[in-house]
Amino acid sequence: MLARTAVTILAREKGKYVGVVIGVAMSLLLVLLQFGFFLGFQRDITIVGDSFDADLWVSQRTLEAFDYVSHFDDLSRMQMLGDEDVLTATGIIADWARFRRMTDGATESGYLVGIEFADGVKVSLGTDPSLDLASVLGVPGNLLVDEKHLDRIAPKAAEGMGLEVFGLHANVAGTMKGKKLFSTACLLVTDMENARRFLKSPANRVSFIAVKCRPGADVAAVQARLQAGLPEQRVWTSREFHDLTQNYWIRLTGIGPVLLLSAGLAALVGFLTVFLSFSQLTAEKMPVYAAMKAMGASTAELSGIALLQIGVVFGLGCLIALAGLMVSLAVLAHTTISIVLTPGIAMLGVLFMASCSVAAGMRALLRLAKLEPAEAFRA
Amino acid sequence: MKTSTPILRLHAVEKSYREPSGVLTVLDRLDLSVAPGEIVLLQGPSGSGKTTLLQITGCLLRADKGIVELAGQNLNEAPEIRRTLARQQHLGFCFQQFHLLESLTVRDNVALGLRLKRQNVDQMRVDEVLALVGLTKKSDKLPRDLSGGEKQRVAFARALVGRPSLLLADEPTSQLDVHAAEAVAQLVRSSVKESGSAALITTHDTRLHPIADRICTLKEGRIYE
Repeated sequence: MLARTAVTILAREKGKYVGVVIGVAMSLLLVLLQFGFFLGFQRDITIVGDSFDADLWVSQRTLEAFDYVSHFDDLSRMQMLGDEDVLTATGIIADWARFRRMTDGATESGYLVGIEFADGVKVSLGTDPSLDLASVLGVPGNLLVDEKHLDRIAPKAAEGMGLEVFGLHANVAGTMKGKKLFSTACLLVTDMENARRFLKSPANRVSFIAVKCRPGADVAAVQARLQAGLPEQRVWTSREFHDLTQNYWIRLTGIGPVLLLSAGLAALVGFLTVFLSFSQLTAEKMPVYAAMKAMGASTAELSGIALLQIGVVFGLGCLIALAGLMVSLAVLAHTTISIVLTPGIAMLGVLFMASCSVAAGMRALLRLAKLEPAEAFRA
Repeated sequence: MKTSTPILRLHAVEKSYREPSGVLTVLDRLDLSVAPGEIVLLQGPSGSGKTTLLQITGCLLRADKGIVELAGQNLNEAPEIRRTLARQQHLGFCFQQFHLLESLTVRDNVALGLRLKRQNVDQMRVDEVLALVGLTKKSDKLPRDLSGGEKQRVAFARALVGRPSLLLADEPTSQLDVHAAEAVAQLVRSSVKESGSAALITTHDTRLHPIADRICTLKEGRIYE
């Protein structure tokens, strides 16, 4: 019965509530963007390794992270293929490379990854599905770059202009989608032969070997067998290999903690903004609530009014935040800034802010429950 | 009339407050009855306990001891839900500070008096009460557009609209001019006499004396007539 009164109050005091709605919206937007940036960073750290459908990875024994490569003899791959549960093993060579743009002669550094595409472990690079990577990248000098780095690497690529990698001519033969490093360095992907040529690497050297086991194979047992036969290398499960690089960049360097801290601070600011705004809204009305309680309103009814108002303000704030998010994502799509925001993550953000609102609401309810109607006489 | 069952009966009511300087006894074995159709004015110096008495009568505060009987129910020790119900069913409050909802119009503020009593919002009744307090033309105004006296009349209309068995008013004419004070006094008188309800009014305003059946003075925790 008092819902109409609550809505009327909201409508008539919209000027007062607009500030709170904007506060809720900005807080939610800030929380979502900050966590999106952190998750984008987290995704990009292991973007290359995670693109492979591998069960096991083999690297030099002392590997610190995917980006800190060291090479080893490719002959060990023959040994792996001898295991009855190994379906295929793909050699990968990776290293930092200097490239020069032919348009203006400027040089930059990039991370060059060469992959054996033919009959190897499946790799998803976000390329045009009609592109046969094995044949396209088999052409000497051909390579792939992320679509967002295309202009940076070869501004006139479409007109036949290319680049030089360590002095050798290269062509951008296609683009990848969402395959770029977390740093500003460009990711260049080509086939194994091209990469060895660019890097002037001996034909028997690899940086990693990605292994795919037969369906139903005991991956842990395969890992143990391969490790026993390869004392100079380290055999990782895909999860271990992923975690190695994640752990290095997230925990051992300051980058992950700083991003996570800023996301945490955004959440804290959001919590305080929502909590204090809603608490203040209720506190302002305490004398009126006391009078209403004195006149016969129950605590449940007053709580209903407070919660309805909080709910409406929160809902409007969410709508504005989600609209702002769409605009932000549209703008960020044209930049090289990485952000990961799925509907699930957005929902989590909304639930987080909803829990802040509930906390503020609970505080309001506690105050209303303890409210003495006699306050109406003392006010 | 005064021999009928009282709508309000306070018997041996005691109330003390702990203060840094010691225990302050505000009500000391106080007795007071208000019969249906009766208007009782309560006066006394500041700090004599008038507001405390009004709060205990209105089930807003519990007495330390004694009986607080409203419409035949002893409510001093009753659970809160029964006290809330008693406020809905029997009481009408007119606060000194009005406590109008600033974002509701005069009409909505008065209608709120019916909503809080779980009564249907009868617009004719709202119009009737607004006419009685002389605010028909201002029914769509917000409280911020009203003078202090007009706000006081809105608060009074809100207290009366639900036809309470007992009207509790705290200085209801403090901000009214002579004409408005007389109008409110007559409104109290007519509504009490016609409906058989009662009123307990704290006031220093002698303009209300003509409508009073009794004028009580609260002094040293007790009632003197």
